[in-house]
Amino acid sequence: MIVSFEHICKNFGSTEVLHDVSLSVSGGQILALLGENGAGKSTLMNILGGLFPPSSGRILLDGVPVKFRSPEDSIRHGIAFIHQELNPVNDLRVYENIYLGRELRGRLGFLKRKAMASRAREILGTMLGTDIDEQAFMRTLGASQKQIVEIARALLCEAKIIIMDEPTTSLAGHEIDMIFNVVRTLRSQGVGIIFISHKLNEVTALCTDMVVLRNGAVVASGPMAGTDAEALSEAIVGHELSQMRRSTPGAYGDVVLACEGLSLPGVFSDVSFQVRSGEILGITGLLGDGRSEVFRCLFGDIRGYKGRVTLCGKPYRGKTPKSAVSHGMAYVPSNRKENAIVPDLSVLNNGTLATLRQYCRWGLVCRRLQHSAFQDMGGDFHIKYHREDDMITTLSGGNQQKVILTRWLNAHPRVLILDNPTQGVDIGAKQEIYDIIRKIAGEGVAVVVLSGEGQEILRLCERALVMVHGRIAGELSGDALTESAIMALATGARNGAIA
Amino acid sequence: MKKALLWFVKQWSERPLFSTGLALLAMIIIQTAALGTNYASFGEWLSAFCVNWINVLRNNANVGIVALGMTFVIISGGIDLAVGSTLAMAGALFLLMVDGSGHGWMAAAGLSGWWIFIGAFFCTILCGALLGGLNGVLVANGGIPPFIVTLGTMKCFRSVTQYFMQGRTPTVPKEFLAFSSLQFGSTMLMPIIYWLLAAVLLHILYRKTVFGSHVIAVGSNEKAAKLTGINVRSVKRWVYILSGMLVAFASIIQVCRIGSMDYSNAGAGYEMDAIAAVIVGGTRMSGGRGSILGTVLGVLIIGVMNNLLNLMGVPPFLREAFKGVIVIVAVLLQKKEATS
Repeated sequence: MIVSFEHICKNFGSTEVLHDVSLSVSGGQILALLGENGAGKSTLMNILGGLFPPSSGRILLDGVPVKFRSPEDSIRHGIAFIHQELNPVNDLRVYENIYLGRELRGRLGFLKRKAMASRAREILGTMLGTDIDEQAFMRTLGASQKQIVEIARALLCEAKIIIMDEPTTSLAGHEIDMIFNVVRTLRSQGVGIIFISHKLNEVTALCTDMVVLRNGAVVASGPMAGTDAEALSEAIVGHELSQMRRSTPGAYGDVVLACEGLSLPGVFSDVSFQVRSGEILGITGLLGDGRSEVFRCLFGDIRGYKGRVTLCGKPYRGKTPKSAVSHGMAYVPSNRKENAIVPDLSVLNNGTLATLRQYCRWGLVCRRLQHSAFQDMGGDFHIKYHREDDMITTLSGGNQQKVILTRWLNAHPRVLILDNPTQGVDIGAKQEIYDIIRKIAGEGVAVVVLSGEGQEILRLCERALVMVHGRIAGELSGDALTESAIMALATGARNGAIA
Repeated sequence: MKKALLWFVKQWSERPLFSTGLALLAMIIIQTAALGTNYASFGEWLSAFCVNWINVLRNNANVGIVALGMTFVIISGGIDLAVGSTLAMAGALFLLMVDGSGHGWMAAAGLSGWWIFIGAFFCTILCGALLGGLNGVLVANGGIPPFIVTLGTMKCFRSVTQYFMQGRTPTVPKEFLAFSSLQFGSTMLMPIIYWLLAAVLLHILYRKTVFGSHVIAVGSNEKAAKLTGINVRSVKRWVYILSGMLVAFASIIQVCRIGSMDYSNAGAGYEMDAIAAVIVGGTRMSGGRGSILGTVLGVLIIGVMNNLLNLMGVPPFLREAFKGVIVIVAVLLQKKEATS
């Protein structure tokens, strides 16, 4: 079977996400779909997976135009989408998971367990060449085995094209090999595979063809032979972007936060760095690199890490977020909605929640003090709201983020940690948030920005660390800090050298 | 006209207090009508009206006080099923301390006169705080779901109380009965005063203090609360302690009204009555949203409805069914709020 995209465009509102994308995959091909976050990979695959239709252009199956109205529709046409985050039912057995929602039933409505189990064994053993026990409970399987069960599910519906969205990000080396073997077995049986990944050296080893998307358009495509990881990473980032520069180096003060040999078993190890007053340090990497966990440990949200931390020259250990705050740490977490917003409190209360005790008179919160603190700090952030007493949920993402920043700035922190500070924020507000972050650093706060977006790091930071699998793969600063250098370190195309 | 209707729909769906208040108003009108017009003069009708209202308020004052604490617990995202048993245990302790037969612990400790009462009062409140604190520690530090913790302690407190009170029948000395039964003219107002006083204090605690905001934060988004540096465990412990203290206060009022206590039935069913009132008052079961005023109105709605059914001569066995219907209707209204 051959799937072809012809001149696909997709608009969300007024923004164009995909522009005239054409590509095709046939059985027996492993196509690497590459691009930065936001390049349009997921949108393209969601169109193929039937989640939404293209704005223009068409999809052909073996030369016949088709329209997918729903995910079930696309599965019926032989296209299976294996998502990055799997949702297995851990308390059911492997074969029950494979047949979940499509159980075989006898005449009286009882399950035909034997038939299901033997078919599951056939798929797992004969077709995929693995030794997964179909009677085992899902809970007992490793991450890669769960991926394989998901592939088996796809094969049960006789999928001819399988989309795999970053299947290896959360896997260790030998597990990745297992997935690769299965993918190669599938290929030899004439199945076409679209393999989305950021790990370029894996991609070059596994895939037969590649397509690179940038800003919603195809910028490179062709057979994998004759190209290498360095060339791919340049294609992904684009030359012109790596030339973009940001603020000039300022005069930094003393070291505020110094970490030595931080480690947490299974998550990160041997992480050491220093941040100076007035500096914005960037920390970047791919999904699952452990950067967020390092700082959640420092903030006391995760316990049990090892290593030495010095805060303003004194030994420091984050026990709870409360004690971290009292030591002058502030943490703006990622996933604002889950981790930062209190949806049932007003804009004013959300903006002053970390420091409410300071506005008390006789044990009661004094509204006037609260109001003036909020205005002093957040007044020049251009936060758009109707009234201070409105619920925070009535604000847009960018404005919510500004309220959260106000919350922390009121605490006058010495170290400000920002995890994905512009997640779900539109471009205009992004710029304003960058300005705010620069201003905070200018006032002598040591700022750490965690971000997966190379652009963001470039625009804010003078110096950045790149993390891979819980280790610092390298440090980039000054002119060596470019997007392709970050990508090369993060994907493992270039080995860590302290620049 | 259309504008007024739109305003009404908006208020109804966005403000739980609006719908609760209207429901209460409607019920009061029916209740007033049910009093009848068969009176010699307006003065006589007015006194019947007032007596009826004072009865409604007084009969619900105890549940009303318990429901105040329950509101805090539910807003924090928890639930306290142990209030009824805590009431029995605190009441038993109070009785043992003030016992009029000469064996009271406070008398044995050398206190006399009203000092006995004051000592017993504070010891009982402390006892409530400890029992609530036990729930709080199990929930906050043990990480056990509040429903299970308080279901367990509900059984424990009741059973332990009954075991220890076997063969003991302590009573409150006559002079202390005034705490609840002091007459103003011919009316007993004290429980009502205590209830309203507690409601005002807790309203201030909820709206005006750091603790109140932290309770909302914990119930609304625990993760965010923790990452903002709020001591989530401490907040959780304190809401149960608060609930326990209010229950102990209610138990003293109850004991001083009757003079003694039936340990197997005292406070039984209070947990469900209190939870029902809190829900009817517009507090969200999953936490994060609610109000003290709403809970007071919720208690009144259930109280006025009971009174109404009584006035209309509905058989007692059928009355609980109406209570059930009211709770379900209230949650239906809340659901509308969540989806709109």
